[in-house]
Amino acid sequence: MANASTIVLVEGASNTVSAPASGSAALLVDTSNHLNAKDSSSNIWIPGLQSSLTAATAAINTTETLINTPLTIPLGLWQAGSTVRFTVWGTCTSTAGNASTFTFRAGTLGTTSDASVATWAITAQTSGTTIPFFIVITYTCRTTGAPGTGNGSMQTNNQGTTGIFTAVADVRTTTANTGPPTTTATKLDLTYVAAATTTTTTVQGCITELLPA
Amino acid sequence: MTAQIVVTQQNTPFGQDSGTARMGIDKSHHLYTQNAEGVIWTPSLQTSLTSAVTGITNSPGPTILSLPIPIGLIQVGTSFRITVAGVFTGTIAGSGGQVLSFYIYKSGETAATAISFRSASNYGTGTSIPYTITACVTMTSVGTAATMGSGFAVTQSQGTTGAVNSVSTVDSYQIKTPFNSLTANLLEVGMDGGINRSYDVNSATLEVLSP
Repeated sequence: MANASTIVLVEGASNTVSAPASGSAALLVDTSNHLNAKDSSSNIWIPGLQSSLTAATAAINTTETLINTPLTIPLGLWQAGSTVRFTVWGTCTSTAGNASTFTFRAGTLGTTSDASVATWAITAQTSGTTIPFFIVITYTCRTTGAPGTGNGSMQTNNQGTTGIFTAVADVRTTTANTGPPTTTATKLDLTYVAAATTTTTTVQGCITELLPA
Repeated sequence: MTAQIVVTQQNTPFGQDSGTARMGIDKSHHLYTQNAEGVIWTPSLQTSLTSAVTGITNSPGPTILSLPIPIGLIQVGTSFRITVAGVFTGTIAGSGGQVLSFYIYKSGETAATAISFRSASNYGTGTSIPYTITACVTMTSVGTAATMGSGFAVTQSQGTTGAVNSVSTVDSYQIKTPFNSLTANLLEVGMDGGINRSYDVNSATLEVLSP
């Protein structure tokens, strides 16, 4: 942000608040009670937007289940260049080579009913009991809209070659690809589901981070 | 809704009123914002290693990162992420890799391990083999005996002769000890070496992530 000679205090939706005059910065309280700053070029600056899962999930298999604490982002923050990063760790027990699908969802609900933005799928091993894994998913907005566009990847690290995946490491690109809605304050969600009850996963932790454009 | 800025030198939380957001400066000169529900948002509270630490062979090993944090910052849902990168040299292959220790304690008191991560994979006999470690853990309760959830670490190594002989592995924590989260605390990260193996740490980061 350019050096501000004047700080203007305003309130309202971060995308509709007028940019301050050149040489000034606006501090604003948005409609979600977040404190943001907006510079004279309409860039929105916000303190770290993060959330963490505060307790391990139940064992998950064929019922798609939310595995993060949905992160509410204010209207106007999801822009071209905005990135969401999910860091997930947990264990998997598997006796069949079932697909495990991670879905990035977004909407106003913060549930599995929010719209799918992108999915990533890996195939589990036919064996393995309580095998640790560590997954990092990143997704970057390229254009906003309804739907917008974006792209992302999922990096999987696994203990050995059993459990949620058949190798110690893997990288996948998105298999679906739309942007979150940009006309409402939006919750960013991550869900997990397995194709059959013979692959069961427990998520011990999940950090969700929004990296503003 | 009222937009309010509080600039004050006091410890978080700053107090809360429905429909307001607050911004304040605590006694450590950290800048925070806080919403009406009392959730504290902090701009990028983190620290990084500024010079390499080489030849780590002892256990417990040296402290490689240190970060003071104010009262009130650690809440249920606060997460910590540690990253370490460097090179490994082994003289005799063995089992049980490096130990990455995370200490949380009150300044002036004896450091106590909050959580430690050990790679269970074997290590090799390579020389100056690059490795990276990423460890994450989240607070599940706060108080005089605050607890963390299950922390995991992923270790990646170039080839099969370095810090882990399997290119990559994931392990859960080895030791976890409750600590007092109600004081101004010091966060520290320590790196252990051991007989027949030596670690250089070329870069390291510690991040405190808001709930």
